[in-house]
Amino acid sequence: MKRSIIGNIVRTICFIAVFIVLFIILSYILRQHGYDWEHIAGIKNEKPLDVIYVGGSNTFVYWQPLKAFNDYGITSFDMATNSAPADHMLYYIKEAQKYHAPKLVIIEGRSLLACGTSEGGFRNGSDAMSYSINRTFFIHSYIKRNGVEASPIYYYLDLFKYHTQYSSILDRDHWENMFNSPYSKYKGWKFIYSYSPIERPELFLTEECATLSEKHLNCLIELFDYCRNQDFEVLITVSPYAITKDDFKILNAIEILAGQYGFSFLNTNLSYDEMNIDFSNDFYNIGHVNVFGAEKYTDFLSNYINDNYSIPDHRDDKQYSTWFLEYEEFKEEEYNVKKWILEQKEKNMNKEEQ
Amino acid sequence: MAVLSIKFFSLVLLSLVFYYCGPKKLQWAVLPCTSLYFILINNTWYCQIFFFLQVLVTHRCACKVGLKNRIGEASNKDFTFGIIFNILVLALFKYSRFFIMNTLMVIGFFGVDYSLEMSVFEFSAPVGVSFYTLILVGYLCDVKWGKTTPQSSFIKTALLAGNYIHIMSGPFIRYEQVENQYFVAHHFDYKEFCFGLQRVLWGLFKKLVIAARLENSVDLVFNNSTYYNGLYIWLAAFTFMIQLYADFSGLMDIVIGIGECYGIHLPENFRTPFFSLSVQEYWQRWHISLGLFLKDYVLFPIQRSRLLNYISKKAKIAFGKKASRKISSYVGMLCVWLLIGIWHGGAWKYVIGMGIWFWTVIVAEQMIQPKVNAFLVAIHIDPMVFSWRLLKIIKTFVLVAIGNIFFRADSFKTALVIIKQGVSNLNPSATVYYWKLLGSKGDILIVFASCFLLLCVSLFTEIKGDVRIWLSKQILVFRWTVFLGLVFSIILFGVYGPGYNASEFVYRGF
Repeated sequence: MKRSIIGNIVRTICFIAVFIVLFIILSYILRQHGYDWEHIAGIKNEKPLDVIYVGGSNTFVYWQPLKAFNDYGITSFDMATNSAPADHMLYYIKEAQKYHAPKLVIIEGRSLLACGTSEGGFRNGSDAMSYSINRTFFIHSYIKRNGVEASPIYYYLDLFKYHTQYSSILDRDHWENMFNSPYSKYKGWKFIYSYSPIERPELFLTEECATLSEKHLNCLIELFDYCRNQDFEVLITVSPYAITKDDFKILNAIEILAGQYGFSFLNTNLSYDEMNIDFSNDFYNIGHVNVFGAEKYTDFLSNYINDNYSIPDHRDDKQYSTWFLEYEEFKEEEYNVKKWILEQKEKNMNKEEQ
Repeated sequence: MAVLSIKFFSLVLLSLVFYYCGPKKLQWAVLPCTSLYFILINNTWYCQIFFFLQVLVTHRCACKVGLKNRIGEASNKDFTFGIIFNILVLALFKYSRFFIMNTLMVIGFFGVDYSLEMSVFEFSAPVGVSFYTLILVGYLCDVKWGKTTPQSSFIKTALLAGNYIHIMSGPFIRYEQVENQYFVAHHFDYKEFCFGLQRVLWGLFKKLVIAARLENSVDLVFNNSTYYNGLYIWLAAFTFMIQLYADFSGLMDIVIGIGECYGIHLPENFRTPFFSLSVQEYWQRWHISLGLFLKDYVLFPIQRSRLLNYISKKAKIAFGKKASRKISSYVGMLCVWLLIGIWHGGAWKYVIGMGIWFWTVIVAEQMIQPKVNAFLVAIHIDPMVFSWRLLKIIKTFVLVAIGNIFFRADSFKTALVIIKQGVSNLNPSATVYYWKLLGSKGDILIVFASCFLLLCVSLFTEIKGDVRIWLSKQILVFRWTVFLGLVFSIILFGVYGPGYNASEFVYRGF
């Protein structure tokens, strides 16, 4: 009798275990496998990283990890997804810490300008993470802060959301992602084939501080509280863009708060000339630089990190030897993008002349 | 709380945990408590009051009838009061609008001007009022006829009617079927529990993968009946047959499966109805518990009634003994079929489509069948050969599909328009293009594959019996592959989730 009860329990547990494994695998297969997914899930396949740069698109089209490695031996990764606001940062950092012990965490200040995003923006991050406690808390915090119309189960167990993509099962490429373990060749960086001249922002400087909403403030406090108790240093940067006076006021408030926690704050919008940023050449829209601008920003920031933090130079470290090969590939594609941009620029000029 | 919701299944799970893990002495109380919670959250305050009032009146009447029966006193007054009260409540919630509208129409016909705001009569009915009212009526009849002794506990009477497992959609249960199951201790039986879960899964598969996928094409045709015609209409009508079967039998599988998890065996409501050789047989295999209920509590009493005896006597004098028997049988059947029609809802489409139509077809079948048999003998055809039986199955399917057009259409008039559209033009291209209404190639493939699976399981059940018993004898790897395949088919191919209209079960509305 007892034996049969134990047998039934063991069988049930095994069945549930098989079900869970298959459920997880199918979830990973059916997910959207875009670059956002690579920027989050890709970090687990990296060799030990010293610098993690968390943010949104204001990060993965700005900071070039392979260039920073080539120039200073800094091993870094852009852990960033489109439309990622302040409340994502804490969980991105925690996700990175599962696989790495960073010495420096750079938080993109522009991502701290708001707390809360659309479902799409949220899913860029949550549906890229592997099933874990961190992911569960990430979803829980999003639902708690923003409220959702659909049942929370569609967030926690994303297979229920993506089951309509069942035809992906027949796609071999999707099966390669069954362990949610992609490799991000450019360490979270994304090339964008786009160019557009923008106007240099003026008159945004102010000493005024915006009053942050309670939700926003709580979001930042939660993030800063966590970072303060960790073994890494924190640098909050604000990448160059068409900054406005209103944004600057909010950034002032964030800077004050960050100062209370002893975090460094670097607003590169105060250093356009130092970076040699050319607004007629280095952007593809008012919020994002193109490869020309990214190169200048990476130069400026990696130099700053090199001067202010003791991040080891890993260029002679054999385990990073593949990074040089990847850098070559990166340079090759960068050349193509630059060439494309220059062609576009020429076309635009010809049009204007005509 | 929809059956297909996380909340409902969480409630079931929680209830089962208390049921098996709690003290055995209090086990019987778990179902009443769960049902009470279910009734309270699913009904408006006045619906809650009416439910408990119906149970209270039935309970009191049953006790009085039982007592008077025992001491040999007449109990007609209490019995009649209990029956009328229940029927009045049902009529109030389900048919008041129908009766008032028709009365006003008749008044209008005689030239009397009337104006009445019909929205006054649009109020929510207690969940499952059509089901539990008949259960209470049946219980009262059983007590009156001495088939059962009245239950002394109000809670137990309430559970008979309001058990959350079957309150929404049946099956119709009788007191004698559950009295030895509801109120005794159940020990956890691993095999039975697994069987219950398997049945729930199969029900979910039928509903989410088959019914929900077929629904789209049926809705498109029936909601645009002036646009579609010919074979489009008939293919949609046949598809609706399968949709309705997958939907309703799927719901029954879930209900009976949940019951099995509690160690309670509820009566079956379906027995592969599409293999029926006649419409009468179809109705013996479709919604079985309703048919049996009406046979026992309506047809038999009517056949024993004075009025029918009088009609029978008159017919015997006028047409002879054989014809008089048939006439009284047909009159009795007419009453039952009218009730089936009305039970489905207060609308002429139900009365005519589900009632009169099926009565006419069954009577016609009974009248024609002896002549057909004689003809077959004359031309040396064995009526038992497969091809003849198949023909009869197809005939039954088509006749039932016509009745179901009334069921599915928005109104009686619309149903007539749809049928007219169906015969106005052949439109043979529909045989190719209709399937595109189901969705992409992948969707069509899923529909056909799942319908084929349904057919295989139905055939197996018809020939060999319960598939689960056969499966339980197979090796573990095979069993698990089947179960996991079923689970993931539901998860992947089921129609649910954000962006979809999570439609309710068709029969839940009754």
